[in-house]
Amino acid sequence: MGVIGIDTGGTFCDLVLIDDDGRPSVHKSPSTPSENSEGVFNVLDVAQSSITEEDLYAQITSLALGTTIATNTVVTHTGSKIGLITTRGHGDMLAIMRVNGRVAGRPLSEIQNYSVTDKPAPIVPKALIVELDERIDSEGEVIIPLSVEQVEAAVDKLVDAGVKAIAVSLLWGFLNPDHEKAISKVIRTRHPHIFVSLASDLSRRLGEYERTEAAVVNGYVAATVQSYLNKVSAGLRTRGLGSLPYIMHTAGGVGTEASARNRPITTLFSGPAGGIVASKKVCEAAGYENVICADVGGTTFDVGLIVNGRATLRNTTVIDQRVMYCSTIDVVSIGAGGGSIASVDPVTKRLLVGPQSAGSQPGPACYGRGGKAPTVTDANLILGYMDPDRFLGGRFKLDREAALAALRDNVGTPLGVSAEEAAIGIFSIVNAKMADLVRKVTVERGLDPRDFVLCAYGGLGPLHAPFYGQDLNVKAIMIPLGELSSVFSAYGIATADLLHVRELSLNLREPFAHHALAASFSHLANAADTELEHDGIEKQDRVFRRFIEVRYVGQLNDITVEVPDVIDASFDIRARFETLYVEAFGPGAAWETAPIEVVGCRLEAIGKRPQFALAELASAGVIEPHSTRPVFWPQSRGYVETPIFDGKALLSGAEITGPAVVEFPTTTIVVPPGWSSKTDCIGNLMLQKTTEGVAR
Amino acid sequence: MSWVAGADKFYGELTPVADMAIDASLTLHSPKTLPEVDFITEEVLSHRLWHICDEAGLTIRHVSGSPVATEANDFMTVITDEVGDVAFMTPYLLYQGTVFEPMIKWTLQNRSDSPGIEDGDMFLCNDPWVGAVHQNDVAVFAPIFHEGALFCWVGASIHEVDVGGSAPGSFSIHAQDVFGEVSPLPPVKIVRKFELQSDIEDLYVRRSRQPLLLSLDLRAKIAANNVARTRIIEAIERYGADVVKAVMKRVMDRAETALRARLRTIPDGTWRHIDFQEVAGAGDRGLYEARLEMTKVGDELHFDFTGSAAQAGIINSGTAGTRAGVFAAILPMLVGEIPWAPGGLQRCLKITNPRGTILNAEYPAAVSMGSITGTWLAHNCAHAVISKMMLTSPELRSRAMSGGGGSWPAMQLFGWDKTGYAFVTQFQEANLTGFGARTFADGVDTAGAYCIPAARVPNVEATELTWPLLVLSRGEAIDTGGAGKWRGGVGGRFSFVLHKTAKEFTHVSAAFHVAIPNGGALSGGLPGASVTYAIKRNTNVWDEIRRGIIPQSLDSLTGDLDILQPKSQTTQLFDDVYSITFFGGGGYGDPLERDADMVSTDVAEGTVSIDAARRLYGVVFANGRLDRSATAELRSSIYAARLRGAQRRPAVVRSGEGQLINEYLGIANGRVHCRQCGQDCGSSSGNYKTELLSQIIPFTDLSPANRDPAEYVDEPVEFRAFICRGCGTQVETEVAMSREPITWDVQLIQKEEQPTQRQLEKTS
Repeated sequence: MGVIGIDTGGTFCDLVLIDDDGRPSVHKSPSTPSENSEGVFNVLDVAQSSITEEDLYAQITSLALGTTIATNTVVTHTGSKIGLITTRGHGDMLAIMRVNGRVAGRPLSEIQNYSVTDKPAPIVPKALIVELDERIDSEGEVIIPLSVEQVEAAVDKLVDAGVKAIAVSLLWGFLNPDHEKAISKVIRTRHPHIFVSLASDLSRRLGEYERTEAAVVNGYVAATVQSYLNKVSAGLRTRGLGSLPYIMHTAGGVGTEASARNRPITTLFSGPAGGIVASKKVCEAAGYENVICADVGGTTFDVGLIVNGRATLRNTTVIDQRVMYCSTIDVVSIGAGGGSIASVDPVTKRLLVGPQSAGSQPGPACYGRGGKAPTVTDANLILGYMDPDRFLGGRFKLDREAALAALRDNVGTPLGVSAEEAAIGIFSIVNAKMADLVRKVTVERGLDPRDFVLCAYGGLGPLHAPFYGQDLNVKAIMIPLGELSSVFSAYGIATADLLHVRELSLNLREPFAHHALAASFSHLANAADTELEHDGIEKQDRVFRRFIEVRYVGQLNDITVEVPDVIDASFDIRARFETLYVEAFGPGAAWETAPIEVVGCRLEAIGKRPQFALAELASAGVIEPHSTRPVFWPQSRGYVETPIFDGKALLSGAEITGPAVVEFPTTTIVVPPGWSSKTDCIGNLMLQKTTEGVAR
Repeated sequence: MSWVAGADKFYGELTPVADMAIDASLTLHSPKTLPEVDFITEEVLSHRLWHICDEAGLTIRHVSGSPVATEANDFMTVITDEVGDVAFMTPYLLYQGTVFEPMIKWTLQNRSDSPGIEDGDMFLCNDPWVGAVHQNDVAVFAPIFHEGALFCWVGASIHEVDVGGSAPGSFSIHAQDVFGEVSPLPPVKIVRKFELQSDIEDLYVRRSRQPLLLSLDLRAKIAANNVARTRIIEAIERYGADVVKAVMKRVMDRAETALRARLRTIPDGTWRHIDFQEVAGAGDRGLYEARLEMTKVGDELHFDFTGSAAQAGIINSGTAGTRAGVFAAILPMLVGEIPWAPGGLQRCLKITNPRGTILNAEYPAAVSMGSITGTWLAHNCAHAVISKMMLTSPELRSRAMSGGGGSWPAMQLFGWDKTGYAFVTQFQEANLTGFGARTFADGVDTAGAYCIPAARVPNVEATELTWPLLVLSRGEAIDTGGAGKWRGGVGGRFSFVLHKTAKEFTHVSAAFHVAIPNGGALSGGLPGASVTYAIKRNTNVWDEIRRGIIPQSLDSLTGDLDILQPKSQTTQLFDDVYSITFFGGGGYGDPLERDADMVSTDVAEGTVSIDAARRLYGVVFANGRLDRSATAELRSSIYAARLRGAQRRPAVVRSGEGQLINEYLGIANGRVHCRQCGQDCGSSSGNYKTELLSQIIPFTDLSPANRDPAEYVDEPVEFRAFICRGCGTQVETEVAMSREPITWDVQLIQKEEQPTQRQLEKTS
């Protein structure tokens, strides 16, 4: 028996195999960008070779995978030829992109520089957009009925033009989907081989642009995602896997292979979602309800939140500057990672770190692949946090001299400081940027970082966390499950439950008709229940959570309020809303005289996958370092001969007092002076300040 | 001089600190020496302070109830030093950033004595003479104290749709002076010792048609300032007040240093641009110009608006608004990724703007539309001269852009909503404006107004949910992007009828460049289309809808076409269709140089018509397909026609590239030449444009969306194209009053020449 999670990343395919006793093992192999499914089998082969005695596939009870295939298809503009059917007079919405498409998702440095901004090339050329004379109004009333002849002509025209998919998105189609459904029927009857992407199936939210973009992107990636799934599923079957794989969704759950075929859009950005799911799982076990999830990778720093035990979702996702409705775990990124490049502005002598990244090719200077620009990783190496001979278990030697030269030539010399001082500068600045982003993500949502535990993962997450974390005064820093923190998304994918998110726009004002709300929820719940049944989830494993979106009339931002399973007049919507509002915007922010409205409801339908306890570690006695080396500590304002521990030797209860470095093949954990680390019974390292450290 | 005795007090000046009359009871935090800050702390702390400013902005987006703020980003947050020099501003509505400086400086001088400036206070101001852009932009700013000394200020400003006055939306097109519009509020203490003053709040909101919205937005601004205050105090506790102050000053110093370095890469010279506003109020048919002469010597820029039209009707702005327009042009074009710290940047700038004009109106001129009149006009001029200037610098030319939306086509709508209450709104569709073309790429289609870095229009469904109307179409308008080697971005179009309401709509329209397109297309490009407001009355629109047809153009309907005047108020009844076409961006370069395949794509995408492809680009389609040989033939015949009867002069022998003027012209050996063919175009010490062939092209030929200016104004105006005598390339264009001489756009000071006396005076 075993559960597998696979995360396909830009550089590596990560695999986590969890055995019957809840014991995880970590496997990695390089990604294969051109033939995406191959990377999956490569990493499975690596895992197979590590368990020599048995057949891996016979043991697997469940396999889930996260894929970047949909994301890559959009970013590289390599999807299918697709047409759009929409309401007369509104076909240009895709070109207009609410005007904001020129800058959506772009960094400030570009937004401030008009001549570099542009809209992305269209996915649907205007010639493949057909407008129909049909109209529904804001009350859902049909103003102009659909003409079937016109629909047939439109569909045939698109098919004759060679489209492989048709997106259907009409004005007010979310409120009254009859016309969209009728069009879908025509397409399916006349051209059963065409993929139909119906906006009202994907989102029932007000906002025609974001719905249409969702329908278009969904159809655009469908063929690629399906062919990928064909290869993966067939390959797994051939190798003896008895079931179809689950596919990670961006909303933070997995879905069946079939649902990924029908709604391929949900597979966008599943990697970051995996990390949040894993954080939730581990923090639940450790008893933490409020968690900042922070992932430091090669190019970005990603931050998400778990609040009161729940990952926060947002309605929209942005890809290639396209904003679309797609329930997504709320993760915010900045360009600050190991590969982030440091430079000195020749005029002002400012030391700048990121957002440009050296990526994996050529990578940091210390990779010795010809990279000349100094990066965060180079700084980390020079400051002693990384061991040049033990990176990736010693398989990959780091070039200390190259790092020194890059730091000296590109930062030290222009600033008139040494290479080491340059490294300290880079390290401090990148940490400050990370702290500022975490702060922004929390306070922007009305939350105080001091109420949170910081869960730090990703290859470099544990290294930077105690430095940017101390600025935030978080309760504690958790390095989840030791080495597993470096493949944490794969762990999340392995353990995620099934999830369907269904939403409905509403327009209810006080006094609230609770029965209308209840009816909306029961409509959503019935549909989701059927889907979970389809997914093969037993009745007792189906869990529903209900939320409403409430705001002051006139405001555009709403607050999500969880409501009980049975909603009636005893639930005071206004009181609950005002409490949350004041939490978010401070005392006095609530506006007692203003009316409020409910603008939407959301149902999260969860299908529990087999649960397993996290394996407990044996208790440890005293742990000894295997060596020492000089490491720079800002707290000590200099290099200190520091004990180095082997992470593999850590057992439950092991305590380490800083300064110390704990090394795993795939990650490094640092315990600064004035900090201590204690390993808990499931292998989390809990870092805590023991004295007030002095730091910049 | 103002004819109102006592008005002088309210002119906000950028008084140097040393000359400020500040009451002795108020201590400023300004240490004689600031500590040395290491490069790490400096970077860390400047990043943090920027985040604090951004966080204040996010607070407004969350708390404000105004779609103008939350959807269209028509708001601003700033952090200034103790005397109001802006160190940080957010990338929202640019005009509302720099105006905090005069408002705060005025407050220091006029409020420090009575009622005093104390910890926990906030001031509210929307007075365009003190510093606001116009009355609708209501600023709230708060002093932050450290150990009893005024350490710095934080400020938040939102464009409010209606602050009162005689017209819905507070744009009073009939006003004779400021007494015909809502009275400005000079800085008043709205929060005293952390308590919102309900009497002052009522005084402020009572005038408005939307008092509840004003109250909600007031709380948003207070919340934003509170967020910034708390976080700045945290930073002071952590790093020490002197260190935080040192970093604030360093941020401004560095922005100055960086801009100076950038300016030094540009040749010295003078650049000129003239732009126009038509129609000074309801019923007027006049034309009013702004003249800008910008001189760059070394690392300084001098903007001189001397000679601009005398103040008139309702199309005026205060000097703070004009300065805001200049900054709005500089920031995203010239400054770009350099931190936007106007307090430092301004040290490289000088602005001369005499009083009594549409750009610096004397009290009590009507100014309620300042942001979309004088300020915008100044922005157009500054954008044009900065872009022309950057074309002369090989390092910076890729940043240049032709002119974009010539104004903000205000569409104020007043009616009754589904709940039975009156509403006022301003359609954000005005952002369906094309960007100007670049030196290396087309302008972005439907890209937004230049003064809003991240503009956004609402969904049609959001509009229809909120207001009782049915949108017939909202799309991109064909042939609105100015033609050029690189095409200007196309503008949008928008039409609607009343739906499920018992009462008619009242529209207030206000814009300029309705009569005449926005000049400022670079290197021989054509201007983008101008705006057309129209209502077709007593149509058969509902008959058509009942027949199952959604009318897409006014031409397809019966009824009486009413082209609305640039400043007008009118009603829309149940059978009337409102329709507007928005600005396209200007083109870049000669349209005949545009790659025929790109024109073919334009035709396929519906951005250029087959007719315009032939007339403007010389590109021929046969049966809907590009005809290459006919295109080559047509293009050479157009070149030939341009050159018919032209006197050629000898070609210059060039020594190297020489100095750039624009895409096609350069200077070498004291002579201007065509970079395409080497044709000599006269001495570089005279106006080279007078040496070129010139053609006058009717505005209606540039875009089918343009109308004859004579429909709106009496002053004859013309579009001039300037053509190289050697190769026939269209190298420059301009929009000018017919009686005006040809503008000398670019007057470079040759290295071997000495600057003229006037140029020297300007930069001293």
